[in-house]
Amino acid sequence: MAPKGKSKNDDLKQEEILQAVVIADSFNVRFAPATDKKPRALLPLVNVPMLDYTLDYLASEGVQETLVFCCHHADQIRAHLRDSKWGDGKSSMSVKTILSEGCRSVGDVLREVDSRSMIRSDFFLLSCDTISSVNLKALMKDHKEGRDKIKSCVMTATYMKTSPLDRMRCVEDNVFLAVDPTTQRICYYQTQSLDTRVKVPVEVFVTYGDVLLHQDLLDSQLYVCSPSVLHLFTDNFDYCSVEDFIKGILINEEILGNTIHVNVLRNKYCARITNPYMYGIISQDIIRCRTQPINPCLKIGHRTETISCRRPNIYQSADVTIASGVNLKQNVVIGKGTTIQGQTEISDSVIGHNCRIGAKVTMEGCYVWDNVTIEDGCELRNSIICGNVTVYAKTTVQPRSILGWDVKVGPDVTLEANLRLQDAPCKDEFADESEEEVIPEVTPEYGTKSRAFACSQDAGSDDDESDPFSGDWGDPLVPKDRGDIEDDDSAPGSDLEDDEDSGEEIEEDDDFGMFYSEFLDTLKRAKEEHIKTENVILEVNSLKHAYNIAIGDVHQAVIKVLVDVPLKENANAPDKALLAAVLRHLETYKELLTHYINKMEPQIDCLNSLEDFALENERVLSILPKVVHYLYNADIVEEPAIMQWYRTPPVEDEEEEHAKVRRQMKAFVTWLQEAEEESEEESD
Amino acid sequence: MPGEVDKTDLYDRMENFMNDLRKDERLGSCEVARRTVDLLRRLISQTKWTSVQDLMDQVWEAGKQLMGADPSESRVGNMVRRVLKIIREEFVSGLREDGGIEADGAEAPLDSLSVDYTQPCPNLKATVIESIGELLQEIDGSAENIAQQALEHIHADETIMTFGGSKTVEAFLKNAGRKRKFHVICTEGDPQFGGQTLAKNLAAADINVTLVPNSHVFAMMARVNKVIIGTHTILAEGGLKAPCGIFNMALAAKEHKVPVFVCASTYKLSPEQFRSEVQEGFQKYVDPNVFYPLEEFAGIEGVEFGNVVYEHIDPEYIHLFIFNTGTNAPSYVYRLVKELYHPDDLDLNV
Amino acid sequence: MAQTADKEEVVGYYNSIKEDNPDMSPPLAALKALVRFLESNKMVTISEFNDRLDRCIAALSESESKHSSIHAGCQLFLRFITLTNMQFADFERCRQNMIHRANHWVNKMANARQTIARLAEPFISHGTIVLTHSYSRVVMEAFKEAVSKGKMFKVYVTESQPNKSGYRTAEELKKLGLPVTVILDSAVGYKMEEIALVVVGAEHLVNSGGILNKIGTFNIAMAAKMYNKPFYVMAESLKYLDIFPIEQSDIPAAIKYKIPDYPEDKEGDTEDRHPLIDYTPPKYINRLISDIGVLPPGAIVDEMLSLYH
Repeated sequence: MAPKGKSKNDDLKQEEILQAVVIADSFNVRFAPATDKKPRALLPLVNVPMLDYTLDYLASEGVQETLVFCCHHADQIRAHLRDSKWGDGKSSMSVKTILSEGCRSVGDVLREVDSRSMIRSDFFLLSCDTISSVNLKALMKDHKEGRDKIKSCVMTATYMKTSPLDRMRCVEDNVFLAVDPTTQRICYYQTQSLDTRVKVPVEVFVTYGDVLLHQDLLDSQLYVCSPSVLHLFTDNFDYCSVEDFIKGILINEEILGNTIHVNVLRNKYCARITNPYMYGIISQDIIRCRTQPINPCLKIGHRTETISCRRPNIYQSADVTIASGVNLKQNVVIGKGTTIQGQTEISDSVIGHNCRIGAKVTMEGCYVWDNVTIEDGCELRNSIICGNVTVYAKTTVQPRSILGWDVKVGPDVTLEANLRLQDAPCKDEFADESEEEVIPEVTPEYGTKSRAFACSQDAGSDDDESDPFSGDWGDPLVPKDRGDIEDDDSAPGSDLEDDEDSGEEIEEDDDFGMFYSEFLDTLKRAKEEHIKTENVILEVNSLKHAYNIAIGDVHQAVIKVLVDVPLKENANAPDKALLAAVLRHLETYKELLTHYINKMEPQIDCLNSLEDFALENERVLSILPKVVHYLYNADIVEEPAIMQWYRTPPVEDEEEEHAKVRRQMKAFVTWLQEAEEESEEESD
Repeated sequence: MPGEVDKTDLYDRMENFMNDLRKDERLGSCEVARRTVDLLRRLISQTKWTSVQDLMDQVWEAGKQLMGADPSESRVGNMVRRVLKIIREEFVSGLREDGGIEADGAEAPLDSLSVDYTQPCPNLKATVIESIGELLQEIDGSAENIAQQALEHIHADETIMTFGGSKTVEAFLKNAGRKRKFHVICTEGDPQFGGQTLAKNLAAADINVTLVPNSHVFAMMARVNKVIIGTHTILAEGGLKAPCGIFNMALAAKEHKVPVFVCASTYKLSPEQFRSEVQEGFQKYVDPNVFYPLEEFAGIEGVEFGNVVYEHIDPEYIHLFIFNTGTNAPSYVYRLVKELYHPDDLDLNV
Repeated sequence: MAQTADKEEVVGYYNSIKEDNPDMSPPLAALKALVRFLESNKMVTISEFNDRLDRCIAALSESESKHSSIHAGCQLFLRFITLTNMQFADFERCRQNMIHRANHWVNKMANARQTIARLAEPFISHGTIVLTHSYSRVVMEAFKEAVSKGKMFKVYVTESQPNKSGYRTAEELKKLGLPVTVILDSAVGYKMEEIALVVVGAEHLVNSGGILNKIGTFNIAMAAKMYNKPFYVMAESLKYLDIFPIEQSDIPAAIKYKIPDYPEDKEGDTEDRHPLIDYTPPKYINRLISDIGVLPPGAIVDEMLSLYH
């Protein structure tokens, strides 16, 4: 509507307030079993619930209305917000909690928002576990300017510019974008590309002309949306996540004409805690002051105590008791009321409130929540220990484990890596409900005093069918021990060829193997059902065409099969009996042999095949001379072929094998040469 | 109800102030001091209190909250304590007028024991608000008061070295520059490169300026007559809490026997003692992003990027303090602190 | 006769107070004795008051000659209580006023150690190495306060010859659970590089801003200055002595050869005797932590002036 005058403009401006929609559910179980008892939004990050960071951030950036959508454990979130400073209505930001138990995805939430008509204008969409230092007012301003220039823009997605080497880049959140540099709109969007090579369809370049390809973006999952986003979600019921939405917009661009633009954040922090790996990374970033103004000393939420900081990044609350001899190496946060006994070493970890850490404990990269007891001599690495857990003495917790609420483990046990434990066994959904499950008091496999049950990864996974990484810890995009990545990039062309060749070889091997086994079966059947040899030949030919086998290979296969079948049948027989069986078999199928092995080439193939087989199988090696003799007698293989085969120089690296076979055959070959014109002796 | 609206307004103002403090916007000292005092004045005029102790407790609580936003920001704490001292003084003088205490100068040491702050005092609010108004005026006028003393200290054809980024020193030098010709060597100063702004402004005021990087301090010191610097805070024993890099200048000055003058307003005086660099509320660690942008330096493993803001300078390196109330030696600072603050207000955490 | 009665009375008070509170510092006990004397005796004129109190003070000083601080403390006391409005017609009212002030003041002095401990505690950081000299109750109080706040630190204490009072300090610190090492007096320079800060008590605080303390303190101060380590002195304001020493020889002979719990070597000339007290000038002292606050050393004079003159 055209502005009619200053007063109307002012009115419009006054009505526009900054709104934000916070989705307080992750719709996945990456943090299982921690999320069994508490919602993701209330899990502590550096001793403050994640939701508090988000709300505090929004308030400090001038957002006036926030809608918090809760699904899982919604009552806990509501109670938390009621107790917090957002509950008493004094703050400048109003926080409305909306419970919608039926929502199963981000899409459902947005459809719910649309149906309630609570959004008046452009709004921010973010998740409860976002840590950010971006200036939201500037972000909104950029979005609106972008929209004024390009009317079709429905959403601005923010990305952090980070190198792919950065620890913050994890595999499952990886995103590859093609962006138009003048308008900043997304032209191509691909998620979860694990390969070092990315395929971009040519249409992208044809349609858009100049594009910038970005592999250096971390998806912050902070979106500035126009109200039409909500309508689009309502119209398309199959949009579950924002990814689906972006992809859908790109597909339907010609029809609907909507575009999505990016805002690349340079030197500003904005990231989401999507999995335990990111939890660790972002915790460390907060401790190392990369996320200013968010830092471990900040009085957010219910925190009132003063936290002192020493270099290097050691934060501890006032009433912490640390015995002498404790070594806090670097990047450690210790919550209030915690006691730590002597000779303990802690690095890169966060310890919650009222914990009891014993003597001689080693902790590296661990995130320990409140009221945890860790007794003497334990070793914990790269794990999350939920609240009220007891780790008895001399227990080792290996990387990537999550010990759930109230679990007890140990003593004297080394837990395996990637372990997730909870304090009650998984409920069997199909079990009879009337049966009372007896929960054992002690689970000896985790230690004599332990009480812990393995967490099944299938629990509650009905939301996760699209995500193959559910339940996993999360990995960095570039693993730590991958060394020099440039090695991989050095010869992309040759890589291509190698791949093709190896591909073909693999293909060939597979095909040949299948051909061979089918051949074997054919012969067996032929024997049982007394099929005529002509029909066998027909079958073999059809197999050849079916598997696309070269003729040389067929020749090789023929003799091998003919020796193989009696070999298999007489596996335990003494050599003489075996030989007899083989010769008999060859006699039976002489027609088959003569059909295929007629010229010089096939004969040499035949002999090569026998050589290979002999090298594979010692028994064949021992009967090899007699078999060749038989073939010679039967005029299947002639002398020139034998001599040529015998004289071929060995292939590199196979000299030993070559010599072995030749030694075996030496007697025969010598005889052959001498007895060219003499009468043949009977072979025994 | 108007009272409630006012309260939310006060709450909002406090929230805004705390957000600004948190965000490391490098607020000017004058602004921080003024906003703190203004907030407290609103608090005193708007809230209900039954006794002086009650009022002081409320001011105390608000002060603790504000200080919690940025514990290293001592200027907020200084102002809170000033206001508390004003309250105490006004109360005691009110009692004296009423004849509650014997008018006897020797009562001073017993004051803290015998004054009963739980007595009601009806006229207190008006007098306290008036005194706070005077305090605000003092704060606003302090930069100018300091600048007016410039001519006494800067003489013609002198070479003066300064550390970039102090508005107080800028006003001081500009004032002298109106009547005298002298030369200024200015270092780049803190990461925000305040030195560049200072140099530009001084040049605009027709003063000869040379801008040098921080590392050139020792080399240039030989030709310098005086060092004039600002500071963030002055500690109780006369030491300074100043931006990183000033200690280098002070050491170089001592080596070359060049006197160091510190221009500061009295609201920068803090009753806190310096005990160690790692004491609570002394140091501030900020985002290393300023030096080491996230984009370029993120992927490097095993290297920590530090960015501390403040460092401590011993009183023995300082020759003279130029306050808005006059000049003083560092050994006298403790007296000023005693006059401005009450000993019971020292530890806001108690 | 009345004079001796007074003396006996006040000394009697002193002894009984000392018996009830063996840990109380002698000057404080003396002050309490004076207060009790004042409370129990009526006086009519100011001159009577002056005479009688002077006699009491002399008696107390003589009976406990080793504690030179008694005299000083009593003088301060006298100054303080008389620094009030004496214009009342009735001396009785004056006396009551003085008693009121005296009680306040003595209570404040009685709590001096706690006040000092509270002020000194933040200076002792967790995980540092602290050096102390001889045995000082004030310093012990400060250490106790720091330990009660959960701090853990290592203490080096000098032997403090000739009376080996350092061992007493070590015993008590061990009971607090602190790791303690007794070092030779001569090893102070050697150990100074490891040490984070030095805390000592004081026998007397003097006008120049310096202190008089057990022999060996000056050595430690010099070593600390050399290594730029902070040197903190903890003492009650009661220990103030109105003299201005410039050199070591300016220490009054009456004080120089006496320390508590150690037999005075009365044989021969003073020149042959070992001095047991030395003077540490103010430039070696970083801070003076007393019940009137944490002050730079030179400030003590100003404070004393404002309080007592």
